[in-house]
Amino acid sequence: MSHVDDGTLHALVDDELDAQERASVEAHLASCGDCARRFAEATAMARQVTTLLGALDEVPSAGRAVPAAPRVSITTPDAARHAVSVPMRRRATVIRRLAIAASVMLVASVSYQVGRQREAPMAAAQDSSTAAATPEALAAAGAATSVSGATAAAVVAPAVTAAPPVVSAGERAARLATERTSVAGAGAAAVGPVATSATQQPFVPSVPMPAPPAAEGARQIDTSVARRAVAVQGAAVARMPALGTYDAASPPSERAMRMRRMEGQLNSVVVTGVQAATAREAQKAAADAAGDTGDARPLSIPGYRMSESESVSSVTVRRYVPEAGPTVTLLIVQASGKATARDARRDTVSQFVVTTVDGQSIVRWHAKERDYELRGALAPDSLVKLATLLR
Amino acid sequence: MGLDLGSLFRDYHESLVRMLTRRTGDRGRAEELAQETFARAVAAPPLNPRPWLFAVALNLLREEGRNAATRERRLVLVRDEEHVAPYEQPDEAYEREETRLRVRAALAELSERDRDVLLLQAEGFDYDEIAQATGLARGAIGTTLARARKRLHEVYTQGEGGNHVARG
Repeated sequence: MSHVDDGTLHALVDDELDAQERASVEAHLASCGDCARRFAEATAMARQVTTLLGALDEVPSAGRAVPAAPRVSITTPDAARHAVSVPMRRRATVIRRLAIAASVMLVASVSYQVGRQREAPMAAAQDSSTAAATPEALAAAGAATSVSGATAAAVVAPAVTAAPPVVSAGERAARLATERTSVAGAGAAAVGPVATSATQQPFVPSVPMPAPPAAEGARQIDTSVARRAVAVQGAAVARMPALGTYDAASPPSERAMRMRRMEGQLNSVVVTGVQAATAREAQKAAADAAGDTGDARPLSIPGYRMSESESVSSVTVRRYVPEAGPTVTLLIVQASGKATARDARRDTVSQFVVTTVDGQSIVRWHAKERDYELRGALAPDSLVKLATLLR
Repeated sequence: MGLDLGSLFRDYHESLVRMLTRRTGDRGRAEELAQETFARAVAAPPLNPRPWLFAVALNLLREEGRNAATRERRLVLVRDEEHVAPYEQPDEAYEREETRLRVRAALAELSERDRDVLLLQAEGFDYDEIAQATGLARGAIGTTLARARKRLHEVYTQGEGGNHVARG
């Protein structure tokens, strides 16, 4: 046999030769000192290169935490499946809405957790007194988005709370007030489409906000929250029954594939938020940065000024601080307005805003020319349970 | 069995981020790319996840490399992150950083294909998987790896010699 080429030697080092090749190469090495020496060199070199590549793992920004897997791997007590009861013919619609809701809730969850990390626990007395001080403000907030009775609203009460399916503005305000005074974490969240007329303009929170002591770490807007949440949103949608799961042994029906494509569009809105991977998106991001959009402009919130703003592609995270009084932070995640017009026609989520203060989240989003909102103490475990429903 | 994003994430996320970090030298960017890759796995569940995920990630990286606007944005983000980088013992940190930079420089000398193959192999890919992820013929992997390893080693060692001369 002639000498062994480098490729074959390295394949031998990597144990990638089939039995026959291997036998013949080894036979040659046994009788050829040159090749045996080259094999030894190749082995040492492979090992050394592995070590060298390991040095690359010591990057300066290695202090960043790896996003935790548990938020994505949602596994499932079966019981939770039955927590939502809706008429069968409405089911697909509602499930879709829930998927949207769940995904937005997941967004909220991330914000919520961030909020929890940087805010010290609040004195309950202070909380309840602040909440009680302005019931009018609460009512006003609720009235601005009164529930359209014609459309079914699903209420998901993952913990213990059972809430009526359709919530009036007053009840909503009252419930919010109640939740604000109860211990955060026992989450009940109401999901329902609301009348579209009054809510097209930017959302103005008029809920009284108790003051969290501002920690040093709170200074920096964490856009990775938006990025991660956005990716997780895709995961929630993928668990919808309508999507099905891909099984190599039994390919999905045509209808299932069509559903999947539809949902894929829904995903895609979201996915554009992850990064500007294409030139088109980069242009869009540049246009957004230049203020070339309607809805992506900073929200104007009376009494607050925007302190920081950071955009990642079509998702913008903004932090608002009050002009006077106690320190309150609103973290608002907003998709760009560019997506709004186009995606409204596609029945996709086009805009969502999450406001999280003291563990209470108010989430609004726009889909198919309707506005939706969800509010409550969005505890992570409630979110997991809701997401479970959507598997 | 359908796609279980959770187990996909558990099995491959760490490895994918490591590979992308080695490739880009930027952990934050690697995580972003990994997130985007998993988001795509949700939209179009792959049959053969590992080569698929890594191929998608490498494609994203290439697409992104062509996009100047994105790069600009990234520079800003990276600069911000450097402020929060933890500091360790100066000497040790210096030495480690020097090694890292030299390996980076050596890796940059490789062709893109050689670099991808090398990094995939370092993540425990077998030749079949490398072939799937890169589109190369299986028979070409051994030769590619031989060339890549040799070149990396060579350039790295040259850098070492050069440094010693400069110091001495």
